[in-house]
Amino acid sequence: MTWVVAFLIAIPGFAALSLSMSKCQRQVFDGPIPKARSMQYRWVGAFAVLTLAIWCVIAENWSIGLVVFFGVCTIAALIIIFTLSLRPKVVRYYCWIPSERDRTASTQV
Amino acid sequence: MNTFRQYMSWMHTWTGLVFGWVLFFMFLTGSASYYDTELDRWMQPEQPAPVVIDDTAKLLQVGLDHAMAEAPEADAHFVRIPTSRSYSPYIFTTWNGVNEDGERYFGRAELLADGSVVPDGRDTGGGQALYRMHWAFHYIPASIGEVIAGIMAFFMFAAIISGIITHKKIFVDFFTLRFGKGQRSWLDAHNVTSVMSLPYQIMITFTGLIFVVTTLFIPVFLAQYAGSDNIVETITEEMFAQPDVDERTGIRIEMADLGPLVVETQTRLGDEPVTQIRVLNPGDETARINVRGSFAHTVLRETAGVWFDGQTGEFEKYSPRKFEGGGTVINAMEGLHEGLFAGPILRIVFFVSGLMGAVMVSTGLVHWTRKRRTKLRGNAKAERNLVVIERMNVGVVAGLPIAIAAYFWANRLLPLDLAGRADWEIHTIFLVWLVMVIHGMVRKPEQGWSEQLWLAAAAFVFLPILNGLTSNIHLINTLPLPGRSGDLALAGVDLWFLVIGLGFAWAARVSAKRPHKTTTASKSRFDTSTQVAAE
Repeated sequence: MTWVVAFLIAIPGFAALSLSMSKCQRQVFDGPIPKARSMQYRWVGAFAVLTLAIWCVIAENWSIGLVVFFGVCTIAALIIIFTLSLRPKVVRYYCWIPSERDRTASTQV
Repeated sequence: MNTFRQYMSWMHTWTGLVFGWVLFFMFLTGSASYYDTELDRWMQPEQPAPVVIDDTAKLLQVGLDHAMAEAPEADAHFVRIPTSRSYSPYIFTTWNGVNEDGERYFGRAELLADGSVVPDGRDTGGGQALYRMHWAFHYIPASIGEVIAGIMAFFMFAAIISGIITHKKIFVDFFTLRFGKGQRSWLDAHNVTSVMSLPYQIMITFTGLIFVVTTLFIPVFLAQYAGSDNIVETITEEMFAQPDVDERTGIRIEMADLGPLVVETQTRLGDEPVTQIRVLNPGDETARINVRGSFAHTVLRETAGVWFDGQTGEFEKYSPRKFEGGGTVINAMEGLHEGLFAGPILRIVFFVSGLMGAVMVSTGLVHWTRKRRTKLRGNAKAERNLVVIERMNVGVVAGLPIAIAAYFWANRLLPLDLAGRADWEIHTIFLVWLVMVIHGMVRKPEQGWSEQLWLAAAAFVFLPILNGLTSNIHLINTLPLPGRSGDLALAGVDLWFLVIGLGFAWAARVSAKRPHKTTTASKSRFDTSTQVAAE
């Protein structure tokens, strides 16, 4: 349970963090996206990581929870990295982004 | 002057490399030791099935009865029932006391639930040999190995911290891993593995240092204990003091029934299961019983528990996890390093992070060697030196996993009655490693990498099949399926072999790809030579 919830928070979280970086945006979308939207991804990602930390500590305790937190971060980020390098377009599904909206967003730049 | 500088450059190169190689060895064997007990079991397939925990008090009693029969006059009996992290999958009992000549004796036994002693399995080093190797290096005395491991950890820690500060770009490239781009790919892999697992790498290196602090930094002790008549004795007494042992009266008594004591302790510990028991002065009027919890609840390598009177079973006191002074910090750090508290999933995370450490060191080595070679182009002598190193990297980096796989092959294929069998299993590791280094030297690097990575893939992928042919603990019997619980600890070992083997096959395929021609100037900076970038 601890782990399932943790990964449900961490994978969208790290996906959002990656989408806030221009390099990854070029891989996932076909070009850069509006700056405001990048910032949104950054905030969503940061919020997810914070939530993840809180969840781990609540679900376990301070001692084990922090270890679990760092471990989940490592594995989740690793999953994002491999997706980005092997199937970059898939990353957007990790944070439930409908593809059309972003394509229009990118054309507005 | 020029020759002197050349010598220094030569030495700088080689010392850096040897550090890298040794660290790679430490990371790989160290990661394997997260599964030491599972590997112990895998490597003794003829051993009976583990003890199932049904009635804690009953199982603890079985252990105590055995210790009492073996050593009724002992100072202490200690019994531990198996958990996912204990050293033994059976009831593990130890005792110690002082004989008539005033010498301390120790005893131990592994028992099945019916009280019978677990028979000896085949002679093997098991997972424990890999664990010991990662800091003791096997062929040298452990005391020297410890010092080497400490120095390695020290430099590793310096490398991590300075690496973070020097390469600010690693955070910009946080999610970047490009395959098939030659030199750039090695650097990406190095960045990604180190940054992703950074908390782990900092933790494991620093806590590794803590383990050897007593060996490396003796002045601390000398300063603390200056003036004592016998420093070693004083320190030993303080570190290993037995808690509240009363003088025996010699009056034998009937020990209290364990059942209620376990129940009472369990009530106090909450959801932390009772897993061990310690009896001081067993069978004597002064006997005391200490029922204890498990490691699983904090990172500390200590359990909470309750003390009872040995005869009446009366509650004496609750003993929480507690240490004097900085003891908690030291204990937490050592606990973090060993990960004994980690359940199955967290252990996977630890293992993967450890492997990432190994990848970090090895890709760093390869990248560094190639970059240096590119830099020294034109300097024929230095370049030749680096060609040698480039080829050695192949055998050292790709060869070690093959050698470790060979350890498991040897476990199944060496004759059971071979004299010094356990030693020969370990010799296999180093012999195969040597052969791989030689192979790497005589092949062109790109061929060497490809051949050895494929060999590593085969060596691991076929291990579960070898296991199936030579034992009954293969996946068909151990996988948990609907209707049977299986044996996940053993199945997990085979599954990891498969995953690791497939990982190597994938690495072999990726590294065989020739790099694309890069277009932008910033990229071609790393692809200075197509020959260098051939992988």
